[in-house]
Amino acid sequence: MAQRLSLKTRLSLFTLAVFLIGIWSLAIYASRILREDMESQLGEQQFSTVSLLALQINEQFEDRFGALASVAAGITPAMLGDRSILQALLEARPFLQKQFNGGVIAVRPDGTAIADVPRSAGRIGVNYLDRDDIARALKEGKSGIGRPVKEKKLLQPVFSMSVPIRDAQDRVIGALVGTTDLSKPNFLDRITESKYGKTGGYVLIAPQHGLIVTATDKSLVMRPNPAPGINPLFDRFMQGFEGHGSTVDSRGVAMLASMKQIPVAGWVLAGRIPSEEAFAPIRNMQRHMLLAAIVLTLFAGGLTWWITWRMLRRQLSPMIASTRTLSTLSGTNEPPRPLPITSQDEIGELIGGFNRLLETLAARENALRESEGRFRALVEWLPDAICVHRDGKLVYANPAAVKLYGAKSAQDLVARPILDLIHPDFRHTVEAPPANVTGHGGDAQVGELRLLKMDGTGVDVEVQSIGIVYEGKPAVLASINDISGRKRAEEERRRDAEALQLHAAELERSHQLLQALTAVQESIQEEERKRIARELHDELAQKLTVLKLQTTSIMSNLPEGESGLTRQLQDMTSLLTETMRAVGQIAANLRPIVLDELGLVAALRDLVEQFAERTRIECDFSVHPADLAVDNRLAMPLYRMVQESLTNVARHAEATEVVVALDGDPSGKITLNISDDGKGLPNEDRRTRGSFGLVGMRERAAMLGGEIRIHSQPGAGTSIEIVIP
Amino acid sequence: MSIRIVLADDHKMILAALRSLLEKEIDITVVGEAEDGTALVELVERTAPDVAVVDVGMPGMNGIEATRRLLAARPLLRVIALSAYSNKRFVLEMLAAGAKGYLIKASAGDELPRAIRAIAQGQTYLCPEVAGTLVEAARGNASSRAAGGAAKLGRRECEVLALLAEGKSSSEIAARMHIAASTVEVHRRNIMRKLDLHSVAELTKYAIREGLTSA
Repeated sequence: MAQRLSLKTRLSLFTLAVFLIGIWSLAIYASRILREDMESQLGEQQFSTVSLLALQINEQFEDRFGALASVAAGITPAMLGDRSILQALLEARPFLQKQFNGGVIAVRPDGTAIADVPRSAGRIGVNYLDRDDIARALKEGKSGIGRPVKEKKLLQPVFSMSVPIRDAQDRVIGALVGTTDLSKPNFLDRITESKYGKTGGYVLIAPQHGLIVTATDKSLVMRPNPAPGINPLFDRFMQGFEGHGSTVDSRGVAMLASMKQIPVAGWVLAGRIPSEEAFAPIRNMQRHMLLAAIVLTLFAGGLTWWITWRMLRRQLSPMIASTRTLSTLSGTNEPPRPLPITSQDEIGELIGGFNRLLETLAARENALRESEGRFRALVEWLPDAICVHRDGKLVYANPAAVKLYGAKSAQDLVARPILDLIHPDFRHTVEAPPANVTGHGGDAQVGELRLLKMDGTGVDVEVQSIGIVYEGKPAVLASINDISGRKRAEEERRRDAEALQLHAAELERSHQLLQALTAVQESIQEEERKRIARELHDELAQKLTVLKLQTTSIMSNLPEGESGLTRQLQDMTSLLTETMRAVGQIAANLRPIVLDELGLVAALRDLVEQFAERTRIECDFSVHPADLAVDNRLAMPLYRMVQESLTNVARHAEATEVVVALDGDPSGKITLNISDDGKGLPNEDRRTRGSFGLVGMRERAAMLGGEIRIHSQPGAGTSIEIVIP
Repeated sequence: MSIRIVLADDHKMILAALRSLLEKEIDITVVGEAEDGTALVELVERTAPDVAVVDVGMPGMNGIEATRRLLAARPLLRVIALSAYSNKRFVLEMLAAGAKGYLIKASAGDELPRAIRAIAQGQTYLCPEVAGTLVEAARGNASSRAAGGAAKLGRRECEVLALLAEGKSSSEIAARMHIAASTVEVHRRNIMRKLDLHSVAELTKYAIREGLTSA
């Protein structure tokens, strides 16, 4: 209700405001325009009055100058010499005295008065050269009006008008001066006596002298003008502007003033009237308008109120009814009914639109309910366990979750603290849930933990949590995945991997053992060969040697003639020699005797030379440094490797030259280099697989802790590099 | 005046056989026997014989080393090597050490006394088998030496020399020839050794002179 009233009130107030602004702006605008018009009209009127007055005064001045001039024309130099004649002449002109209430005097060129009417003034003999108009008439021969001054003899404020007296040769021989006494009635009283309006008046100003000559207000006579800059309008008037304007006078009274020049005197006539008086009718009218406006305002306000109230009441009644219907509807769960449309105007359209909105809303609500139902069913049938918890308590669990927990129904779980449903080992991980999980949306939080089943056992799960709004309040939805199977599989995989690693290690150990065994076997074999060779050499060869020595001895001791026996013995020694050579050969084949006796370098040199002799392949052997001593442990394997390499060269390489080099450096590193210029090895594969010799060499090098590098390119020979650190 | 000799062999049986063989020779007196190189050196110091019959293969200090020592101390001593082997290496080493004769044990019975006498008179004595070995060795040397100049270098060495003369580095040459860098080093060293040259500049000069490179 308050709002509806408020709408009405606002409407009323708005209309009222429009009225008021209209009425008042009209009133203010009209009065302002009127005032401006009136001001201009009053000004014009005032100006024309002032102009007329000024024209009259100008004529007065011209008359007086004319009178003075005609008298002056009648004065001869002779008359100036005889005062009595001059005096008589002046006295014979009574109109002069009529026109100049201060009298008329004639002065000589030195400024001394020589004639004076009326005579009683006693001005004869007084020098008037200090009067500006008299001085100008005498010296420049010009007529003029002088500055208002206090007369020396009359002791009254006066101003004089001077005309030069000329002789026949037009020389200035004196001046005739008419004086106007401002304190006595004079021709300017026409100004002073006229009033303008009730309180307004005129002022005659002598701008060149900066003072007021006379004025309606007598107190202003002989008062100086305001200084320039104080009154802008006055300043404009003083600069020759003729017209009217508003100003404020020295007493702070707003004035409407006009000015007109008096050309003969160079004076200015100003008329002025206080604005208050001038604009009294306007103010009057404004007052009336204000009154009318107030009355109108009140009337308009009342009318507006009444009309809007009536109108709104009628127009808005369907809306009010609809609002009431809606408010009763929203309290119930009934589906919204369409609202009745009573009129076909804008309000009818509004209600129509609203009805359509209600339909859409109902449709959406249905869709939402269906969708919710679908989702609910989906969640219920989802194989994944879904729980919703809020404030640390479970509020929903789907059948999969119930099953996961081993509970009978969801009721067993709902309302229980979630911490009770988590394995004690993992409770600390959920005691402080991340802040962003509590709100709606946000990124899902994923974690692994162990749940506590109803039977007290644990189950490993992966939990994805996300903030949702459940039954209108924020909650956390947790999707729980049983990962115990995956964990088991992981564990198995890990165990498999460990086992595999173990096997690999074992394999490696086996390989090493095999290597060691090979090494042992190799060395046993070598030892055995060495032993047999030694045996052959030490036992058999020596014994054969001794046997032969003895046979030879017997032969040499045999008496002459025993030729049969001698021949037998000779055969025997031959056989012995053969046997010894064979034994030597066998021993040498078993074990290079040079290696044992002379070391690796000599043995290799021997080997290489024998190779060259046997195969006719150029073979070079070099040692660096020349006095290289090789450890006994290395000697045999290195020898065998060179032997093997050379065998390979002879067998496969079709080489023409072989270079063998043995290098040792101060650190004890030994590099054995065997290179040929043969056809090279076909490829890496056959290098390792096809040729057992190379594999054997690789093994041998590995046993010594070294390595073997083979560089070969078909057609570019083979170089074998054996490095033993 | 008989020839004073000492015998050195690591086999007592041989020593005994030799002694009995030499005892029949009136002009040869065996003044001592040693079973290894060290004992021989000592024995010679003590007895100052004219001739030492030394087995090449003895444990400890072998015959070659012992001969070198003996002759260093007593340049006038004559040494005959007696060995089971006619291996060229042994022969050459022994002769290099200063032995004046070399006999294989198989021919000792016939030739040892003759050899001792020849040696004592300042001659050298080699049994026929050893002589054959030496001739063989000499022929091998001669064949390689006969060609002379660049022919001494192998085919590979000539290639390496040409590339070196072009200013290539060892690794560049190795990549070009598909061989190990260390093999290139070996070739370079062998070339310098064979040609008795000592710097790459000299090698380059040589290569240009021999027309191996235009660089």
